[in-house]
Amino acid sequence: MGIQRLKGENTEHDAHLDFSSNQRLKPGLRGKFILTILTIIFITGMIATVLVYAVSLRVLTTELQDKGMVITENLATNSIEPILTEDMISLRRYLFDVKDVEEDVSYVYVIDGKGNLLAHTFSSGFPDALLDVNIPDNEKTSVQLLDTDEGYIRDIAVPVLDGKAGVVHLGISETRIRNEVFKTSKTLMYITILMMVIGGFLSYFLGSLVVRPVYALKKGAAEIGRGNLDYQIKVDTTDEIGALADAFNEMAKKLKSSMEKTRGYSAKLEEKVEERTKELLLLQKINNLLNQGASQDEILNAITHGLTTVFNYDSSTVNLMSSDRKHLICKSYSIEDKIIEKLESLTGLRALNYQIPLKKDSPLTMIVRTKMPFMTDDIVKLIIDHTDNELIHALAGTIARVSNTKYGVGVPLLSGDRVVGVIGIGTREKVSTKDVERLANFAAQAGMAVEKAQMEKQLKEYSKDLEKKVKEKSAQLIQSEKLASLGLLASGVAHEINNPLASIMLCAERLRDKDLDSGTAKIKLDEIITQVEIASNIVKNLIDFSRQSKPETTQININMLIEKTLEMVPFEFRVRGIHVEKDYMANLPEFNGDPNQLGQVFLNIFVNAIQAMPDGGNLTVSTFCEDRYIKVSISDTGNGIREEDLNRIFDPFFTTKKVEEGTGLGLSICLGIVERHGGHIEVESKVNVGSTFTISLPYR
Amino acid sequence: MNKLILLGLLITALTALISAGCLDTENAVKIDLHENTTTDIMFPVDEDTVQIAVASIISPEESVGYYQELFDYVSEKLKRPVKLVQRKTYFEVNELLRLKRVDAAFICSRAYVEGNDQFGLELLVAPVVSNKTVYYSYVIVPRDSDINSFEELRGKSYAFTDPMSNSGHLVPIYMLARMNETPDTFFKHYFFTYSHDKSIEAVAEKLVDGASVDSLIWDYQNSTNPGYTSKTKIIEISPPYGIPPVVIPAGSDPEFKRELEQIFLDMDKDERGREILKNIKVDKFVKINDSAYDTVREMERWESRD
Repeated sequence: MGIQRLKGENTEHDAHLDFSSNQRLKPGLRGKFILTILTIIFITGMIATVLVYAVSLRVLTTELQDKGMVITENLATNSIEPILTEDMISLRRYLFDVKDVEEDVSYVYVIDGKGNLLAHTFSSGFPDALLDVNIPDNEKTSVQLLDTDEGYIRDIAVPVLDGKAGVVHLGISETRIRNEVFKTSKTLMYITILMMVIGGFLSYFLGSLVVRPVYALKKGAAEIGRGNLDYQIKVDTTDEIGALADAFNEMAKKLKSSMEKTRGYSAKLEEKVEERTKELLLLQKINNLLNQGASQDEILNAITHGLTTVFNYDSSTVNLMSSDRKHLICKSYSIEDKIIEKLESLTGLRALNYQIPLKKDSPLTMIVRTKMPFMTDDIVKLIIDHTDNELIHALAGTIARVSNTKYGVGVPLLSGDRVVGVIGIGTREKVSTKDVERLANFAAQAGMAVEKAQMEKQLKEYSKDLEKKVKEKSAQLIQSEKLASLGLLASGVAHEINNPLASIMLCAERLRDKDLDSGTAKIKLDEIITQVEIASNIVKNLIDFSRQSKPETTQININMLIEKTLEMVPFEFRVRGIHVEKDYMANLPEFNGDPNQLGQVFLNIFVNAIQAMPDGGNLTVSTFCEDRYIKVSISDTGNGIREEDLNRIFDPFFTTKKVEEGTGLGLSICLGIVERHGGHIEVESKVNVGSTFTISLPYR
Repeated sequence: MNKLILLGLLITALTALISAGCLDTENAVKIDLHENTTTDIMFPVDEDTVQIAVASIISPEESVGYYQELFDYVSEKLKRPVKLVQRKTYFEVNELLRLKRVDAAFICSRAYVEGNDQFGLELLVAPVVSNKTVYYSYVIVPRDSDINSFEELRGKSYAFTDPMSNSGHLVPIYMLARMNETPDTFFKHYFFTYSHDKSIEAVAEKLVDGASVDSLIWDYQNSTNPGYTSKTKIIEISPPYGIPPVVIPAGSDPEFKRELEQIFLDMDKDERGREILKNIKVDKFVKINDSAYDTVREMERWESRD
């Protein structure tokens, strides 16, 4: 799929490449070549023409001038005598001789030292203007170019006898050489044009020679670009283009091999992505299971099943850490049913929940300790080396042989940083390090799911427990409500009873005050008075307890308060056969607090002690001072409190008693009171030995 | 492509540069050769100009150098322009004198003798050279020549100066006549150079085996510019003859004659005159008697005997 898409992109790209290359070649290499050659020929021809024109004109005119000067100087020498001897005939003859012999000589004339014209060669008269030009200075030869109606003429003036005798002028015409030079230049121009024509043809054919391989190259490049990497560009030339073609062919070859490599890579990548996707799907499945509230077993089964189906291992197990972290417990496995059946029937062991001890130096221990995967090339040997059970030894070999499983890997099942178990797999093929890594990664994520499942399980259990407790507590609450009502009722009753008791007391006192002779009656009356007083006290206490009186702080003698509280429950002690021992510290400092509330604390603890000793026992009450605390220690020899309950006895509504026996509020109220007084309560207890409550109250 | 354009520009620039260098034409003066033309040759001679001829004792160009200063001096003294007139031969100068076309002339002794005889040519003054008013005819040969006497020149080539020359022609003819020889019989061949400097040059360059030259010319050249004379040697010296004089045509204006004569005679009396005289190796000018030229007359007579 992926490869196909890639191919599709390639073709699109090729089309683009092809288009652009066509565009680029439109001006034409050959055209450029021809244009270049023609330009070069043209420029060269022009330069040659101009140069030839300029140089030859210069050289020829210089030569002409030199020739003219030689002629003139000769003439000047020859003219000396005729001038001096006034031999004008000879002079004229000389002039005409020169003019007739030299075709370039346009004119000759001689003037004497005073500027008088002596002789000339002009047929139609001497032009006066000439006398004013080219007058030599310094008795030296001078040259002046004249632009005449007969063309360019060089006037050469040579003084005769340093100008004393006169000056000979010779006009040498440049017309002929100028014409020659012009003719030559024209010829050069024609040659240039001819060269351009020939050059054009030649460069066309040469261009073809060059361009053909370039086109072959272009076609080849297009073919290669189109993906036809087997295409070989055929260029026979050994020049740069040939080299380029070779380079292209080489490039195509390399491209092909690298494309193949890339395909291989992408296939591998695909495979990996597929594997990874499968893994992710597996993890997702596990997570889904978790979200759907599947049990831990279901999740573990999904893991082992996934390992054999998704990861394609031959067998897999998940072993979870026992709570004491000394065993791994096989919680799930995935292996051929037949094999496991055989194993179970032969060994009489159950694979599920089989406990594997974490022996020192065993691979499993190593995994748990190092949190690193472990690999083996011989799973049978490993089992034999680290298992005591000989039955398993024998069977392990058999199973390994039957299933052909030889290689094994163990990876830690991690939840965060904590090892919660070990995943083990067995396989026929050697497992690569990368596969182990994958497995480890998977285990790390699966471990979290397992942990989560475990926690969910615990949470469920806890909530069940909580539900039970709530039920209990609500029953206790009802009880306490009942008690509260009863208390109210009792206080009402107590009030009602208080009045008759007062009347009884009054009557009994009056009767005793009357001088009764009967001693017996007096004794009985005393007894009545005493009992009424006791009844009044009970009633008063009842009223006090139920009243929820506001705390009133006064100086309290703790010893007396204890004594007073003990008086409220003597009946119970007697009924149950409890012996009370008192060990008060004399001169105990007074404590500033609420006697009613503190009395309630002591009473509660006494009642608890009585209830803890249904078959009788000893109740020891002692007071003492320690570290600026007044300490009250109340010990019983009852059933004691279980260790696990010891921390919870001060929790509200915590009770080990039956609903009818208590509200579970007592001790929590006690702790609240003591803490409000700046103190604390300590408990020591041992089941079936007894409990000791120590109340510490600070004093100043 | 950009490179190509760059190359093109470069070449164009180069071409322009080269062309500018090559086609740098010089300024031409515009002239029409067929306008304002004159057919006459202007050769005006001022009426006032004094024309003094110089016979070709030495070649015309040498004469210009030799006489120009002297003539300028005379012109200055006369307060009139003086023109130096030259002709190729003594005869032509004598003709100018005869026709009174010139006002005075420096001529050869023999030319004077002939002119005096034929048309009454008058002596004006004569130069004094080396305190003498005489001169000689030298017979010269190339310096390395085996010839040591005039006689040894028999069958050789020889150069005369002018037919009318005394030292350059008459003297050797006289010498030959005394030997009963003529140039035709004595020399293999001979020719006229029409001036003494040319004869010296001809001997020095070994164009001829020998020549007769004016002693004044040879001595002058030998002291001022011995280029040629050093290549020659003198093998015969003639007897002395009257020095070539300055003459005026017969019947000249006596006032002019007197004035001109005085200028020459006074030359050595002023600074500039002495300077000029010194340059031409002349001590001074003096009046001279016709008798000084009798020896020349005698030779002429002797020569024209036959």
